Amino acid sequence: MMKTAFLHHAETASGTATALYLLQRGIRVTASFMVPEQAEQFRADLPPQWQEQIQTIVAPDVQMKAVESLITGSAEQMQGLDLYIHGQDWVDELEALKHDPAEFALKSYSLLSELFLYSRAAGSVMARKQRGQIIVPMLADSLHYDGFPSSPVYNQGALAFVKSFAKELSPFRVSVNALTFGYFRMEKKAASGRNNRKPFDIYALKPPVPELEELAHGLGLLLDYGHGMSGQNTTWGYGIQSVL
Amino acid sequence: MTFRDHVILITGVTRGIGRAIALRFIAEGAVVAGIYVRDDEAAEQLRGTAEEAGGRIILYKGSVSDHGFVANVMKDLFETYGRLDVLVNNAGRTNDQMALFMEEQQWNEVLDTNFIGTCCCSQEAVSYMLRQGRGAIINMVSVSGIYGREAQTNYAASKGAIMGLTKLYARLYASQSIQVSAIAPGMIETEMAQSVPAEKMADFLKHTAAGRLGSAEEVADAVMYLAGPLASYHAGQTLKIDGGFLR
Repeated sequence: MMKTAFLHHAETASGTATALYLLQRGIRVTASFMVPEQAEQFRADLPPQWQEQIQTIVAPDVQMKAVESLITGSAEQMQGLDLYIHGQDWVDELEALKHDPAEFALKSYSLLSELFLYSRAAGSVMARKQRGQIIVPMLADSLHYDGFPSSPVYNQGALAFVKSFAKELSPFRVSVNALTFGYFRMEKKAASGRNNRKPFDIYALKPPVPELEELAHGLGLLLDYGHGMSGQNTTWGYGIQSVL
Repeated sequence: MTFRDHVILITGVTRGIGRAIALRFIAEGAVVAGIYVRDDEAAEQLRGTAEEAGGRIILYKGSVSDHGFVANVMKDLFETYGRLDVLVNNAGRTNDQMALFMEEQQWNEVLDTNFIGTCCCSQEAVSYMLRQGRGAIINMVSVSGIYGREAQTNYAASKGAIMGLTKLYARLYASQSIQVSAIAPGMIETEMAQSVPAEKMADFLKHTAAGRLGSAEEVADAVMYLAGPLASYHAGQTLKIDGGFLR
């Protein structure tokens, strides 16, 4: 049973939704943010019943030793690390590439390095305990033409990392999986009923379009059954392809 | 001859797949420009072989992740020949280690050459291709980037990222007659394959329908297809040349 989780990049919209879902499930969470103001705001918005259940930290560092120390320290404080979720801001890579190709290359490089460093540190703690799950959420790249931020470079690089790391951690009974979220209701495109569903006909006929918060519930699939699978990319959403 | 007098730039040109691609384009009557980083002797051997065959080859020594160097190469090529038809991003390296024991430097070196190198070269090349209104970029990836592989989190992630970059470039430039594709070779008979332990190799071949290693020339054949007019509606995809490898 999942009791303790470390959630990286809780400052993002999907990270916040994920944190709330984990708290709802009674999991003790360490949530990391990039700057103190984000952590403070998150705490301020949190219902009182969950205040004791969560620890917020600021983790802008991406040096190997610092990341190891951060993850190990959090695991000690929570008295365990059953779950590590590597949240990530969903970037519109096409716009970034058009704007500044060199900067885009470096940014993509640093996002993948961050995934390596944090997952490695969490995997190390879990391997010693011979149990744990690492989950790398992403947003379906196929949503590019539907006005969603699309990150094929990060997604494809992260998925290759997930599949490789999963093979290495299987002797330790630690599973590593990706979870790809499908479309959801975006505030700026708020519409109701049929108009809201029509744009997604290419995936499935008039499919239900969930709120972002509902998407996070897809994590339940891995939280409940993820120990029996590793190196997979599970998709959450009607008609979203599981192959990138 | 589809590629007669076309100008082809190949990175990682001196050995294995890069060398086979270079010789194949030379046989087609193209002008081949190659980038290599280290092995002068192999470069000279390639030059000799190419010239014996009556081919035109120009070699540049430097790193694909050195943006200034790459920019100078492209500028020189374009000023000399007035065109750049095909870029083959073939330069790549491995530095295998289980992730739990992998040092930051091992991760960085592989990402730097494979991913940043591909970004640098593509970015420079595409500006010339846009100017001439056509071109092709072929990125060499690997089945490790598709299926993952133990002790290769760095290599697999870099190749996966390049597959993503292939999609991104295709989305941006396919409508401007620039063909961007990737090739994922399986186990090919090159120096890289020689370092694979016998037991692993046997297991790999057991899962390969063809039951044998592929040759660098077979990968070069796929490059010919993707770089030429037969692949004009092929955009952003990764073509597996793996003998039917299943994992």
